[in-house]
Amino acid sequence: MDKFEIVVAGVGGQGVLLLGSLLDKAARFDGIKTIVGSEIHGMAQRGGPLVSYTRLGEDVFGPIISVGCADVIIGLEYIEGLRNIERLSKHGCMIVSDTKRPSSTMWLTDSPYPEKEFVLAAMKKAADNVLVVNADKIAGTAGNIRASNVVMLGAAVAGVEGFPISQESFMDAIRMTLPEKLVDINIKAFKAGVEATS
Amino acid sequence: MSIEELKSRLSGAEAYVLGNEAVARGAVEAGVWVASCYPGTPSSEISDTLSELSKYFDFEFEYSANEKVAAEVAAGVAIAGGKSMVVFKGAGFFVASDALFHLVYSGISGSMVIVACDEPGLHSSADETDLRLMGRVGYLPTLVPSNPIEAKEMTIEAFSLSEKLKQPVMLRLTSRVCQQRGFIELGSVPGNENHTIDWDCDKPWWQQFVLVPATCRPGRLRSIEAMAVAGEICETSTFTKITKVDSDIGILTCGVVHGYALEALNLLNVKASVFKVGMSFPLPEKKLKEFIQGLDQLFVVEEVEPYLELYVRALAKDVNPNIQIFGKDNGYFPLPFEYDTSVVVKAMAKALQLRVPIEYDKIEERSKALQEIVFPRPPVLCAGCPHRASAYAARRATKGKAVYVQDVGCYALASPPPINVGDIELCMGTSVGVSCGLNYIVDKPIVSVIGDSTFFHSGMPGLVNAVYNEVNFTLLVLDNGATGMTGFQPNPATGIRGGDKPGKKVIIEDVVKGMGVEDLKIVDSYDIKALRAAVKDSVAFEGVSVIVSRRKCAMLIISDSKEKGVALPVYRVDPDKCNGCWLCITGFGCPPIEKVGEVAGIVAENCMGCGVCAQLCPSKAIVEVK
Repeated sequence: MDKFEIVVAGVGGQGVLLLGSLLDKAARFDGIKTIVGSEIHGMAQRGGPLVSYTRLGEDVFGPIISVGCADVIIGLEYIEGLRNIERLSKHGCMIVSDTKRPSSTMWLTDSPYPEKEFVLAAMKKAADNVLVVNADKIAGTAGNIRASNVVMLGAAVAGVEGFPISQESFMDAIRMTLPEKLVDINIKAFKAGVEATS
Repeated sequence: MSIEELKSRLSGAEAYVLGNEAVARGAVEAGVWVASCYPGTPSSEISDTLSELSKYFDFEFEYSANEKVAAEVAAGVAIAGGKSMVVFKGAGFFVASDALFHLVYSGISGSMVIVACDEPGLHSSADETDLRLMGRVGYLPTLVPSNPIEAKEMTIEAFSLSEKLKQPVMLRLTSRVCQQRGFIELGSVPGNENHTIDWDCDKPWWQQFVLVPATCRPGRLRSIEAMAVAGEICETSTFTKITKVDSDIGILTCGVVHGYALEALNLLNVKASVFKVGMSFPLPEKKLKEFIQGLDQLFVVEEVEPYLELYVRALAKDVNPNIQIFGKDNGYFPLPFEYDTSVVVKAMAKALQLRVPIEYDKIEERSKALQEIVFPRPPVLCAGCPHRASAYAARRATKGKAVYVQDVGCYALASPPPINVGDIELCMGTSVGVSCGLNYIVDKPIVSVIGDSTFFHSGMPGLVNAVYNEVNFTLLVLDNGATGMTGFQPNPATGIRGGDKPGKKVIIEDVVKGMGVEDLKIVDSYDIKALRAAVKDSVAFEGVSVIVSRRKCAMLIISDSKEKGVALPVYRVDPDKCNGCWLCITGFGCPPIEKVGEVAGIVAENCMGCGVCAQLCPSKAIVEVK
């Protein structure tokens, strides 16, 4: 593999950084040698946007996924997915959770959260593949809506062509990373995500 | 990422880390005796990790009151003969520079590493300074890592270099190294060493360490000599990485951008020799001369200032005057903000007249068109934040007819609408110092805001100045018991020290009284009525007024309630009473409050039950859910 690049985008509190570290670690379990992860998390705790990059493969030397290069964007929320779409390669895949996280400052300008159809149309203009996953609902059925991010991970692994990391390695990474009491629910959520796009 | 991995004593094991954590581990492997810091993004995880590791390894760690003090703490250790490290963000270097730039004149007996983290792109900082230049200005040998592996190795190397030179050495990181994730191999940690200095009372210490002109002249010569030695060491440093290929094109680069340059070469299918600088001061002059001698074209790829570029342009005049150099100086690379691969691709394609393999222009144009849909998501004060309540009350009490001076911390987020308390904020301590100046010429009352940690950091000298010069203004000290913005590090007001050790709690009001402030009030931040009355009264007072507005950070209230298993109250809007005046949204703006048709609503799972909105609702429509 020369290069495979994954963007995870969301809002602080949605678990963007957890997905970043699961991606890095799972790639390691699969024996991928070059793994460069990157995140910027200064203001995210105060409701700001949050992005994590995971870059894999021998042609990777720096931490940033530049414009037009990502193979996958995992959007944990519509607008944050769309905010990062310029990173996506033409043949890449946007996989987005059917989730809306309004910003409290929206009320000041009386501009409502954009219609989902509007967002999806914009996404389709930029990307060949757009996949919507009802992650909150799937996570809720699996046991906890907070595992919605891990549902998206499962959905990406199974639903995105050429995703280079195995499901087994993700489950190992989940077991290794999360506190024991949260492991079962997250494994369940991961599998439910896989099922949703298989 | 996991303290369990980092506290391992097993050498050879692999750990998954952030660049920041790699620096902390490097300090432990180098055998640091004392580490000090003032927290600040993007450096925070270095100090937080050191704080944790100090529980398991034999070294002292402290959160200092500010960066200058932190640097002096490290200087004291290194002068006496110990091994010290001081950590801060780029702006912290400015605060510490008085101590650092003077320390070079005395030199040290042990070793000392200064870790400073720059932020190209200003992700959460208010400046984009390039500290590589400060290394040059201050005679501080400077190492610049590009990834977590180098971050650890260079930390260890910085200690050994410092010991050799008897001078402090700087490790300069950028946010993309600080917050870069990767895998490092752990090295061994020295066993328990004796960390006590038997101070020699008969030694004439003053001849070297008391800085007066007579001792600084030889000190100046010593530092120049040390830089010459550092220059020699730099020539053979393994951190200088040169990859020669058969090509007339060369790349000169430094730090994290090195990777973007390599990727750009791949994307454009260009062959070039690459010179990666590991030590940015002094520079390996001989090696650089040799490198540029055989080239026709040189690209200088570096973030922020054209530091290498200007140096290599000067060198080229002697050794290869015909070489074409492409950098910032002639407009091929942008001066400001963070780079990525696309920046290098565009510059090289322009200079070499190559086709750009990715349609950047088209993609960027399409992104511009999206701006109507992609609303901005600025950081905001959290649900239930006591700072919001304090700032709201301050504005109401003054009816918006005041100058509001802000300071560095979460509370500065009260500057934009809807709260609008914040006309000026420059740097740590601004709220007090700038108010003193405004006092002389402004015809409106001055109401300023500072947090607990920032008050101790650099608010205190300003307050003494205000009392002494009989300034007329009102200062709200917002005491939420946390350095919230940077990740809840303790500070003197919390009575907790680094490594979670108990410390002596410094009481803000005692300090204020001791400084001679006559008008002092202490109010609960959640009591809007009392706060408004206090601000009104203080503004009417001729002279310095201080209001300590106190309430624990909302995030800490939430985590405490979870820990104790006690549910917090929740509020709701009674739709029959709400008349849609929107004060709770356009005047207050707590995130869980939203518009539901003609009336307001509260998203229950985001409400933390402070009840402040219920106090300010004119229709009494907000009520606790029973």
